[in-house]
Amino acid sequence: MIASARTARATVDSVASPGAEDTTVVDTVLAPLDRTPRSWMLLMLLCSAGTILWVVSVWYTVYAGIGAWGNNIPVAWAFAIINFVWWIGIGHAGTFISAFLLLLNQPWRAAVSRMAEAMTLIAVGIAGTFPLLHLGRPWFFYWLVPYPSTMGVWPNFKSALPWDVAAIGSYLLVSTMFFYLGLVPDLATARDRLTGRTRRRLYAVFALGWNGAGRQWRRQRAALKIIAAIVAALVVSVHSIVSLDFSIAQLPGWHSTLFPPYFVVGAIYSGLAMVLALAVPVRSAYELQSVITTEHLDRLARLLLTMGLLLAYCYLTELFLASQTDDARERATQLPHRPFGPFGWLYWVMLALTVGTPQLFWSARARQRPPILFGAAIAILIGMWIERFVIVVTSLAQDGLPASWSGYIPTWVDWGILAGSLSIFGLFFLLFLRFVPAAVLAEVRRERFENATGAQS
Amino acid sequence: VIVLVEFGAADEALRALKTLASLGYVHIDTHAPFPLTDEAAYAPRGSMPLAFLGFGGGLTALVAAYLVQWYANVASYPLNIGGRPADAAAAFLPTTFESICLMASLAVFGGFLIFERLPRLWQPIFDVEGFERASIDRFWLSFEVHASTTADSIAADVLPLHPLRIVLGEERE
Repeated sequence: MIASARTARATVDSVASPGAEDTTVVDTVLAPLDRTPRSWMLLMLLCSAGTILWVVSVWYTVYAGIGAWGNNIPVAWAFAIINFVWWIGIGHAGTFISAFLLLLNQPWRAAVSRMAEAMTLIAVGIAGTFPLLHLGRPWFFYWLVPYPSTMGVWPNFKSALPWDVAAIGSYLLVSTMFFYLGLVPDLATARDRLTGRTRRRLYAVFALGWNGAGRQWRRQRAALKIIAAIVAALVVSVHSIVSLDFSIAQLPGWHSTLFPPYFVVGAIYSGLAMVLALAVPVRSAYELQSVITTEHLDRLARLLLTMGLLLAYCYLTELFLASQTDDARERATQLPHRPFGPFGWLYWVMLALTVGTPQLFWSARARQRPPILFGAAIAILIGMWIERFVIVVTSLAQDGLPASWSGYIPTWVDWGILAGSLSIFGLFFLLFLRFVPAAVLAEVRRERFENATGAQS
Repeated sequence: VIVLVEFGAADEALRALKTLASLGYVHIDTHAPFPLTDEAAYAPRGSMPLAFLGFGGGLTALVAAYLVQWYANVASYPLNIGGRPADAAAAFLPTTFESICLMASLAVFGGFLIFERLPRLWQPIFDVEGFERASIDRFWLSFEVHASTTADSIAADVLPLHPLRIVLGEERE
């Protein structure tokens, strides 16, 4: 009684469905794949314009050299490194939400984890462009990889630069696998639910022939959990390695054993803020309130508060360590230079934004008001960018040799690349929203099923 | 002979799964839009082959990554920077660790595809009319019975479970 493949597709909707499974959640999550709202088009145009700005700025950087930036000596690291650390920090929350919460069996993550993972991939990809541009001759970037060449010259693995390559490369690839493995069943749902021959075929190719067998689910869950365990270790190591770029240097304000945990905390903090900054507008634009509920936002806000307090603790530890050292330059950097030096006002803005803002979330009402959450998330993101500015620029501008102290003024190219990178992020995120199911359907539905039947192992 | 039974609701399918298992049917698989059984959802015993693959991948990367760095910076072209040792184990650690994570994940991901024989865009079961709803809102049980089992005896066991449809199919490869 096996029907032929050709007729099967045509008769999907003719099959009777008496009092069956509720598919509203499927349709809610898949709805954005079916329409192109005007606001989406407008944002797309805006982000495309910003992307052109990025192309122009990058072209000019490559054409003129990094002298086009505001960098000088001693401030040899500036926007490129600040942006790099900021973006890669943002790229940490996706994995934090997905991997840690998956391992801890927190099913509520399913509503936001897909979006957070996509954000991670885009942010890490963008982050990777900054060190490459900072190379000065980015067309030789492949010299960072140990490939057998006739020159017989290898990367110097004692330098932090190849460490970054390994860290970011691995993180990008592992996150991609993690993202895709979790996505396959939802692509299969899209393959079977959406209309249009070409579209279904496209989703069918990416769904790899998923058939929803129990055995397949079991294996997918097992693979996801193993990769989650690996990625949980990886995510902590990536920003630790990024922080080693700083702490293996002898510079006051950088040379500290505090840096790895300090950077990881800051990274997850800014990433969570970005998740909120994206989730709030997306859920209202796509009417996903039933999937990403106030409860989800509330929990994200609690996480944000926790991370904000941890970060404040790191700030205190940094000051405490400086007070205990007999390195006079370290003490000078932490006490007069950072809060009262030429960039002192930024230090206070940073404290207000990164430590002050999350204190809002002691109030349950603030945690559940989307506009407040959105505003706070943006404030924290700006604060975290300023934090990296304070770390990078104040240490360099007033280093150990007072004769060489100098200021720092970014150029239009610096701002162009920063604004452009935000636009590229927006561009790819909009494409993600348009073509990929934005919540993990299988897990959202499993959670509801468990809540409805009380089933749990 | 393969028997496919379609259900309209998850709990019905789950109940039927338990009933059929207690009636002595073996190797009953489910096809559902989300992991139906606790076993499928939480993979409590995991998948040891996948874990071993990951371990193997990590171990390979441990050796390979350190070896590449050692060859590049010690054997082939030692760089003396400030008198630091050429074979700097501590400095080789970050790259080694990242490579372990990468290779272990690649092995698990690759292992999943190989064990599940994916990508396989067409499978015999996709020919069953309406099976595509198994990824949307239908729940299927599939099990094999001996060729001598009569359709009537299967129907007698399955019909009280309120299935939407029962499909019998020959196994084809």
